[in-house]
Amino acid sequence: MREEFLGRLPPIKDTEKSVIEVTNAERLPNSRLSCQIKMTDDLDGLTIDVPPSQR
Amino acid sequence: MPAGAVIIGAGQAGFEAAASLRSAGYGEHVTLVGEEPHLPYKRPPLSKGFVLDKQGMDEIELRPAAFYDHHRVEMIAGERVVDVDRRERRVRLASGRAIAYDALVLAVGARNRSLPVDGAELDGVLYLRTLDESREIKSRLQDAKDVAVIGGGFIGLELAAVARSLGKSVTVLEAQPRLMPRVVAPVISQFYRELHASRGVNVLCGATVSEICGAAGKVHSVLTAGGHAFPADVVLVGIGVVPNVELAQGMGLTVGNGIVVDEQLRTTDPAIYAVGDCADHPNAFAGGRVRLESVQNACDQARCAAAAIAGHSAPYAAVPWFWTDQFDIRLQMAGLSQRHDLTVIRGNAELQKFSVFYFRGPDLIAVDSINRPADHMTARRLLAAHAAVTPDDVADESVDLKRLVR
Repeated sequence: MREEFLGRLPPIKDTEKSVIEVTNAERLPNSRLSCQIKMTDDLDGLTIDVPPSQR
Repeated sequence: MPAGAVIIGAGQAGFEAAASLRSAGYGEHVTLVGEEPHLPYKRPPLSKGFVLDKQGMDEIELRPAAFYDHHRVEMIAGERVVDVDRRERRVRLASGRAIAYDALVLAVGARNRSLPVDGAELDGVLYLRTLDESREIKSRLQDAKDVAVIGGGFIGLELAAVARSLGKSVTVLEAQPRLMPRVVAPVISQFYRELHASRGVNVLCGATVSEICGAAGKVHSVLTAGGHAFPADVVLVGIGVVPNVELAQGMGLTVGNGIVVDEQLRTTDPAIYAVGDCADHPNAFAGGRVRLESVQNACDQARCAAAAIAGHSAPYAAVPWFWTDQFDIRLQMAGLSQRHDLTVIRGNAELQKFSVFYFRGPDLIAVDSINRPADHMTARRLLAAHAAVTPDDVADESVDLKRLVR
């Protein structure tokens, strides 16, 4: 997730934290699982970088 | 002029085949024919959140209607295919319409096995596969007091959990000596037996149903071979499925435990593929031919067949995985455990967070994880990489398993 949106996202929960550690691409400080982000008006314009591979 | 691709069956596999054809760059006509009068939707919520009203239609539909126009997928809902002329490469619908194809995908799924006892036709005996059936169950449960669930597999237990959450008195009758016997180790079966019992579900294993009894056409109880009667105003039957092979059979394709396909998911006619619940396919994780009933298998096979049709053929080699949600517990399964000769537990069963690792000889072949999603994700990568993992690695929680992936 691009930095400017990080503060608007719901906080990362334990399950997400444990799963994001074992993804294929290296975890970065701004990594999130997209399935844990519910789209809202506040996130209009959200910009994300997707990993080169997910499996 | 190319005729394009026709997909028969608009469940998860059929939908995924259509969408994947487009994402693989296929430019010809794509037609998706489904028997149900709905846009393609997800089946997993039908035995869980949808019945509890936690998930609505907007979360169940795989894509909104606009998707099909936008991606030029002709969606024909509520139509049945009556036959396929393989020489002319033409599909004929019940309405009389004929559709030509260059490539045909059979994503025809499976249907519920019927309960072979007297009284199974009584009002109140319900099965679950479709959205309409889930709606029927939801509505019948409202006024029900006693619910009998026949079959202690995924569907039966998920529905039992749902009915219990709605405050019903629930009895589960499983013919085998333990729950989910075809798919999980005894330690998991036992965990689920205790889970359901602790939430007030009456679970009986080794209980064979001999008759459904009713009055005035309506069910009132279920009789077991042991002579016990269980009151029920709703009976939910989940005793497995049979693959829909009749169309393929009529077309002269080879049929076994499903429609027989090769590593590329091609049937005995190279222009025709079969994917999802109906496909009897060679699978390295099964050590032979197998038919899998899962979202993963439906999606990955559909993508594989779509890629082949679009000119990027590759053998199907995805790691099988499954999940079930019962009450607030999630079980995630990776690999196929049936052929194991050793199990090792990682984590703590008392804390309701543990995984069972299944070995066959020196090889890790499957992992079942209860409330340990990171184990599950790691397991999928370990299995895909055929990583060297030992029972000692698994038993020692200080060993970071994901480091063994490469």
